[in-house]
Amino acid sequence: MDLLLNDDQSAIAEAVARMVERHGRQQVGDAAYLLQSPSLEAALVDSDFLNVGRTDGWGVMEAIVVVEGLAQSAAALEAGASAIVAPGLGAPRDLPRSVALIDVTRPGDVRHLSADGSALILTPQEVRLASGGQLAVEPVDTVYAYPMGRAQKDPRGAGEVLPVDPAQMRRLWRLALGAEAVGLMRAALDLVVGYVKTRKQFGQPIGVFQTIQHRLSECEVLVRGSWLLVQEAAFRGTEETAAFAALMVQQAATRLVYETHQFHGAIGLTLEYPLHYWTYRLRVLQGELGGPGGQGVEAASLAWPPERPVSRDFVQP
Amino acid sequence: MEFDWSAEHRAFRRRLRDVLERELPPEWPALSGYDNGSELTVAFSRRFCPILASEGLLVPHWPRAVGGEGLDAFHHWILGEEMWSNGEPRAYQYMSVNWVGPAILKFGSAEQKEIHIPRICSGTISYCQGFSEPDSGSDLASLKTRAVETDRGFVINGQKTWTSAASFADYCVLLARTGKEARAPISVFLVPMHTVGITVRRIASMAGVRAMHEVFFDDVEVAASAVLGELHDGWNVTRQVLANERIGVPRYSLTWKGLNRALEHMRQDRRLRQPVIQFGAARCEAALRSARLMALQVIDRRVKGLEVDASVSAARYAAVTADRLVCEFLAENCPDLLDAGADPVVAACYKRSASIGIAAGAAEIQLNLISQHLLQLPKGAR
Repeated sequence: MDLLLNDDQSAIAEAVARMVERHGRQQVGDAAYLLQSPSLEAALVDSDFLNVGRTDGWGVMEAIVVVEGLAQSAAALEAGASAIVAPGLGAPRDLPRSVALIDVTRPGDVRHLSADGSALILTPQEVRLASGGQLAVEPVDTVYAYPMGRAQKDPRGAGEVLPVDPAQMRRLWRLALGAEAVGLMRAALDLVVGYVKTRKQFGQPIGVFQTIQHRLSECEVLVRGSWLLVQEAAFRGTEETAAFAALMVQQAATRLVYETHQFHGAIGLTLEYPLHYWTYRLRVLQGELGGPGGQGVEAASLAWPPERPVSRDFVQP
Repeated sequence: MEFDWSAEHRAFRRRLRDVLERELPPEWPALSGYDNGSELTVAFSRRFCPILASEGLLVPHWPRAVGGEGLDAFHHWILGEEMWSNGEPRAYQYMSVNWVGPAILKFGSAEQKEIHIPRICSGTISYCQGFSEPDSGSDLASLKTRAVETDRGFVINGQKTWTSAASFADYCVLLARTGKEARAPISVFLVPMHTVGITVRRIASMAGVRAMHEVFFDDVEVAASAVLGELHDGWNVTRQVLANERIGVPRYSLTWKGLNRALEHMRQDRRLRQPVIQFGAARCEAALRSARLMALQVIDRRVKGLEVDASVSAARYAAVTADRLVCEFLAENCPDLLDAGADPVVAACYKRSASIGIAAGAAEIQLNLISQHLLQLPKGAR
């Protein structure tokens, strides 16, 4: 039992944080929904952080540390699909960026889906990889803080089949969205905590008021709990733990989005202030793969199948 | 990171389970009601704790020099999980191990250690906690019980309340003001409960049959040697006691067991196939898993000798949330399992959850501590 990051993981987390900081973690953009950072994107590709999961001695535990750290940047970077999902599916290194994740059973625009990038396509029967123009994509306007794309026709037949079980992709996707959401929640929480320490009303910082303190403290508990569940799911490598982690994360995201906006007041509604760069990515993540309802039902089906008595033992092996 | 138990930890849990299987009477859940203040449990604990002691299972994480086995703090946590999920057959002796003993080891005089530590290690002594008063609950520092110094020691007057186990404890770990001023400093006393002048009244409660008492101190004389730690330094001692207490009991372990039993009933009658039940159950399970990991992370910090900050309060709050979620899930989705005689474990889990957000520091106090120490928000008028 060792529930703290080891030396390598801490070093990776610190290096990612430094890189994000160098390119402006809390930078203010052009008063748009979306902020992108070509310089951070270039630094990320140069750094090889996206391949930590493919490095000897490292794996998905290290990859989730990278994704969590990168998500704290105001700029929307694609990391989860490249660092966690693609390596876990045995997809080739250095796929054309960005790598999008498509669930064909759920309609809608897809984050990071672009004409010149790649897409990992989840169908009920198989997993496919489309890249290099194998999938026709059009960019779309969005009110989210991700670049979004729309497939011009049904992606079910696009690209090549990868020899993996679709359940494996669902598991990795849940880890990726979990790691990313934890980073987004952490950044949004940091921002609001800083804000309530300095924003004065009634002659004092609003952070002295207990209602604000308590609700933000509850957020802190949710972020910590979410992160541990994601880490455990990465460690165990089971579908069940990934589904429970995603459930916890998506529920926490809903709460964090609400509270961080609420305590920012009107300034948090402006596109001139950076809060939405995190919260409007969380809004996408909180509904992926069926949202909390989808995760909950799947987690329950995996944990408590009808034919097996529910264990009275609460202890993990 | 490593989320699996070591072979040593697993073997320790197996040993505990073997002892529990061997020693617990048949029908233990129904007989004891998983109430650690019941006559049956307390009587059982007086036989059971010495057995645990003789097998090196009572204070496994204490140093060998003071009667322990020198094992890491995870062993203590595993012990807590196994005991609490079985209705705490140590009765209230878990407090001796969790926080009374550590407080005496850290702050006690040589004489106090000689009196108390061997008895704690042999499982032959139990304590109650004389902290809360009628007007001093969350605002513990406002307490009024007073110990006035005399030629022979101290004379104590005052009233404590909500005191668990007071009607059968051997000693009270008592907080009292030492000095005449209204806000005189606080000191901690180890007071034998048979001392003349102590009156105990049981309070019927839903937390357990002897979970709450009032304790009256009328001209109770104690020797100067009853002070634990430095005179007037009680607040410092108390803070450390509370830090151990808040994370002392893995309450989620009984909650989890109760949830699992309820789910097994609902699997058999097919309710567990309904998506709405599945979703509710999964939320509970996720909350329990995260609460447990947060608690284990605190223990891990202890094992590694790192500072244990207000992450204790965060872990406690996560456990409170999980308990509440399970309690609400049971009431909303399977009230039939809470009917009298339906399932003693589900009933105990449900009953126990009433107190978790109140005992050992109200949930809101934990949130205050998180906001001050983890978020570092400014302290203001509350």
